[in-house]
Amino acid sequence: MTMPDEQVREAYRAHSGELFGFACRSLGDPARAEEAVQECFLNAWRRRESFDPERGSERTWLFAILRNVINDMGRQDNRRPAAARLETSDERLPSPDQPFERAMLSWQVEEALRRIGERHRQIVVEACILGRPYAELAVALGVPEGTIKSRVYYGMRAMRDAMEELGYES
Amino acid sequence: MSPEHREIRESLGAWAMGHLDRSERAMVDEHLATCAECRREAESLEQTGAMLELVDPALVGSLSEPLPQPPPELEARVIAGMRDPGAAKPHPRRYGRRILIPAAGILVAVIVSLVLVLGSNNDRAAPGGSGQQFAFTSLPPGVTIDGRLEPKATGTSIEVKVEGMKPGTLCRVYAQTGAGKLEPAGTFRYRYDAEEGESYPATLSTAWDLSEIDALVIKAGGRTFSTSI
Repeated sequence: MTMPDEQVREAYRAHSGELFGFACRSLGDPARAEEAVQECFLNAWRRRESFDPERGSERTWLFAILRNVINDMGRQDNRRPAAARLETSDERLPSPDQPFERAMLSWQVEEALRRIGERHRQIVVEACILGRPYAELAVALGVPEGTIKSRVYYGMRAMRDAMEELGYES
Repeated sequence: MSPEHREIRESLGAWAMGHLDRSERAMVDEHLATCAECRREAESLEQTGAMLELVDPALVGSLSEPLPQPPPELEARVIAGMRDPGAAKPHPRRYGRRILIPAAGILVAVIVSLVLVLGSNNDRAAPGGSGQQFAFTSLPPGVTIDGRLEPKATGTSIEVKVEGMKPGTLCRVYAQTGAGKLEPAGTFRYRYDAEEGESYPATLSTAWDLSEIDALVIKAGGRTFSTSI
């Protein structure tokens, strides 16, 4: 993000939808999500010199900024008794066990699920998230049970690859 | 990879999720004890499986639906804010402490009549420096809305101060242009610090020049308020 318009526009078009979706989920309010995304990109612009592609992706960097913006909004709300409150951590860099980090990771997993193909998504959702028995899925899909097992394997690999594309580092 | 090896490999997802029965699991465990490649794969898939536990089962139906998208005008606001950091600060600043920075070289001395579209027609603008102040007067009892328009290189910044509304009320601000079209200028929530007895202004922006704005419209609490500029 070293050019005033082109690269920021590019970054905005690449990531604003996902950032906005996450902000909507975190804040529960599209208007406040707009505010958060706007502030996120303005902060990114102000701090553009600190972006180091070798330390992480642009997307990861923007999510980290958005996290801080949302945390700040939560702190501001907490100082105003009448305003809506957010259940966010007061620490700037909370551990993954804390609610906000967990929410961000779960959002990332959901985004990965959106990115894998419909066939992978179906088997991952049905077998791994909803816990439907393989025998039941085999009947429903008209394939042998062994095929369900191998589809689970390839579906989970697709998920792992999608998570890596999204910047998740295991 | 032998067919047996492939079969074991393709069981690793079920193994990672704990879906294998005891005998199947024992067979895979035996293989993992001697195959480093499959062991790495299994450990990696275990992590993936753990992450899947974060997904709320109630949300899986929405995974094939499109994500909510930000409004088209948000991109323009972001770009305007980068070009002119004072033009689009979404975070409210304290009204009494703000520093107005007139655009260099622009000398504007304007006293503008403000006319409420809804209600009486005798609102008046206060004299301003380089920008233009506005004040709504036909409002519910106890409510005031005023602020200031500032010409910027990229359009106009709009500082709005609300008093007396229910804290948290969502306010949508529009600039009405010559064509009668409402151009969204942003949204904010009315914020009030009960301890300090102080309201917070919101600073928004529009790409339209001040001279092109005919009226400001604010939609809040299910009502629409408007003032001519």
